[in-house]
Amino acid sequence: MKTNGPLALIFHTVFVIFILAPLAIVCVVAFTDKGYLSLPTDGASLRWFRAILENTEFIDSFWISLYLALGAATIALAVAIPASLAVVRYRFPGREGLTAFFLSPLMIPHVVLGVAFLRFFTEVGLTGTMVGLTFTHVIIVMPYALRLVLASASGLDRDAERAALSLGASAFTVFRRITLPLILPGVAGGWVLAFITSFDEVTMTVFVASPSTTTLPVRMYHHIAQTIDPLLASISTVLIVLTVILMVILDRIYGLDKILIGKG
Amino acid sequence: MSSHSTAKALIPPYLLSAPALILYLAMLGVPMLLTFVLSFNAYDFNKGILPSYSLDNYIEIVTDSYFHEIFARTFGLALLVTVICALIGAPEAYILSRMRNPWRSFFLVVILGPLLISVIVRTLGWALLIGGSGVISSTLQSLGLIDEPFQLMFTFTGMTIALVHVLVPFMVIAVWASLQKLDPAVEDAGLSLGASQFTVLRRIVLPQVMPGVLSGSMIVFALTASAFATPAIIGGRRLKVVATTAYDEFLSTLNWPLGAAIAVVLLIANIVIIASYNRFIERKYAQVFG
Amino acid sequence: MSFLRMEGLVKKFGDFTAVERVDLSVEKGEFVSLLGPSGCGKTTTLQMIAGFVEPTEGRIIIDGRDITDVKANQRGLGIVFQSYALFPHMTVFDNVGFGLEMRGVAKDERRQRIEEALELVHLEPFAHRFPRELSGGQRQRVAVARALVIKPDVLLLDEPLSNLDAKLREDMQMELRSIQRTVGTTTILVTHDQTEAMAMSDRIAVMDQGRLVQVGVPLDAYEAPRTTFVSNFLGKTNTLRGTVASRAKGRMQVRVGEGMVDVRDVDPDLQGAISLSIRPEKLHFTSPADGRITGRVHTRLFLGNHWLFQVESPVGALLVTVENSGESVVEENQQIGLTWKPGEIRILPGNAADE
Repeated sequence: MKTNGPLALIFHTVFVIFILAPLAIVCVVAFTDKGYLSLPTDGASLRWFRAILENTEFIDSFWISLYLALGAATIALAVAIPASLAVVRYRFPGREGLTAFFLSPLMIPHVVLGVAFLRFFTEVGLTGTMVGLTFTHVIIVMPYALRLVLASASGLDRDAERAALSLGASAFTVFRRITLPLILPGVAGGWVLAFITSFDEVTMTVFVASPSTTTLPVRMYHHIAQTIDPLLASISTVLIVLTVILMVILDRIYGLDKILIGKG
Repeated sequence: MSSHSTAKALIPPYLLSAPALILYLAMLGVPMLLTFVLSFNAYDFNKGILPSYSLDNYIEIVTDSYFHEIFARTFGLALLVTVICALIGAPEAYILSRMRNPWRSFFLVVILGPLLISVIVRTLGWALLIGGSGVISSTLQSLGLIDEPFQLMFTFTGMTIALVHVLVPFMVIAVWASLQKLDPAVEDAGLSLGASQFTVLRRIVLPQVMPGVLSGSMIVFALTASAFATPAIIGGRRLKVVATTAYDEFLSTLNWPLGAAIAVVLLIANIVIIASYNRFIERKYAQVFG
Repeated sequence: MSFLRMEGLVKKFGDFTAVERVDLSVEKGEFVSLLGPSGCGKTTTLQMIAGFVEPTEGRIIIDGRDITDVKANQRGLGIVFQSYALFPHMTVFDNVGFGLEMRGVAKDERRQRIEEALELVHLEPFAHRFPRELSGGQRQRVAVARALVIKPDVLLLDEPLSNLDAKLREDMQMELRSIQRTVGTTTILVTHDQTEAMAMSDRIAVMDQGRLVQVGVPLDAYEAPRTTFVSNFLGKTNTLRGTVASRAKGRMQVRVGEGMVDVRDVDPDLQGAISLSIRPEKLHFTSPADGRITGRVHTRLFLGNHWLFQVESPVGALLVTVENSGESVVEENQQIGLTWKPGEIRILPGNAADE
């Protein structure tokens, strides 16, 4: 018997409801017409979505998060691509240690990273700067980008590169015309995953953010600490929708299930 | 066909990995080192961080009952969340693995997709659900099942539920990965030899997915023990965990050395958990899986 | 004056010696195969010619030019890889044209040369397909076209037919040979398949454990193998290990197993342990009384164009093949005699040490 019985399917349904419930509630509450947390039982309204547009602080934070994520993802990929090629192509002393080192941020609690970065910034005078913040995000998202690029680079046909060499291509031309196009799925998928991870990051950023570099999740966190109002629900709904769109894009480039499984 | 390693041929790999290495040494190595050193400093309310070195912070963490309570709560929370995740995540992974496409891919995305949504949003959802004026409470009240508002916010139970939600996808991933390696024919073999479906599950499937369950448990435990946002929002000021305590010391009390010491302890605990898991798994399953 | 010369090529990877010493001269337009089992060093030798592996010692000279220190992308050789190594993200047209692009050939001339190359391998209608849309045999031909379009001094083929199924392989052998004849490029083929090597090459170079053990025209190598290794590697053979028992009047008695074999005494200095080698197709059935060896047919297999027999005899188990002429042949369990023509049994020095 290979299919699931009724008991299994009931369990599964309850499980899925459990997973979706908080997200559904957020989306539903966002449409309330009242000025306080409530369900839109009397009528739905877009007032809280309009309220987002009036709230310049949250909009500023959105842009900060966006630019931060763009910068962090791009830098992370720029550095992950050559590192992946080095690890995949050559057997050199320190190869395993280096890979483990590059993947190590996954094992370090973000609280610890937050403390460490904050301490570091006061030492080098980067506290409260966008540049400093960006580099902290690079460290956090690198392992995700690296894993995906490594996966693509491992499947690369080395003979295709040798064939290009034998046909007269320079090393750079081989990289540009052969290697890069062939690892592009890993690179693109890695970029999108790095972007999403940076955008969502809160635990570490809460330590390092300053009033001028408050990202969206951090601002939401501080807001929640004071009061929970429907504005947060509408902002969250927008974020959920944007994430779903990005998930569709990710699926097209790389295959969503591969990435999600890799996130573990 | 690998390139031979003469000294000249080794330049490319080191050159290629140099940018990443420099970045990591500067942005990860140095900060971690500074933090470690900081944890040995002393702190004075008026004068700030003192340039003296001692183990006082660590001693305080180990001896003060305030910290005992926090560590106990954090550890208990991590244990409880891990057990619940294992109990519901593993069966769900199994059920998923038996589905046909397109359902299987669809539900995989539904269950794992929330990992791509900020923890703030997910935790907000739980705050809306379990708060005194939350949805669950209002619904139960209007149905007449309870008299007073049902409040799970700022409770241990509330934290547990929210953390299970945030972390169970990791358990599903780990068990799923384990299930992918199973040969379905082995289950059929068991059935053909007369075992009931339940026995097959218990004696054949479960032992083989144990590495996945343990791997998932390790991840969930480590992540729960270091969790910040969810305990901060759902647990509030009263129910502190290690991560929120470090935050307090660092950003409220400004006792950076103590905060650093807490962070170091958390890091070491994390490494110990991961290392002992790997050691345990290697020893136990090496003979079976080679 | 040879076109391609390998002088004293040696390749060591740390303690491991992949190629002990290779000295080989190839004439212009010649088709030479490097033949041997896996691990014999043939692929490493090819990679040294291609420039992907640096020789530990030795030189490679093409058309008078010493290319030993020339980089791989400046040697101007055409290479067909075992996995074809087509660029998956480019069409057949772009794949074939890549080498011309690298040489800065103008677009129009490029197009013309690509079309000529595709015509040569009979793939013109596939010019705008992608490799994943082609069959194995078609991909292989694209790889050949890509290598030849640049008019290389030497064409290197690294086990190009090993991924094809048997029937296709035979067809491709003939086609490759005919293409090579048409274009006239000096060609080196690396393979472990002795039928392939013998079928396609002007000369074969048999390698074992990093050394060349025999170089020659396929027929000579087959009929006159110099060592037991070569005689076992090229085609099937019966190897009889024995000792010299006695000599008289230009003939030698060799004790093999429980029997005696009478052969011509070719070398009076040959003593002690020797090996006799005779091909299955050179053994003929006759009556037990007329045979030089007697025996009993143990197994008989019909293989279409020939019969394969396993015969039990005092000198051991022997393989015999008989062409299928439509007539009846001996049966299993039949007592028979085996005979052969003079000179068809080879005498090789030594015994198992050779292998």
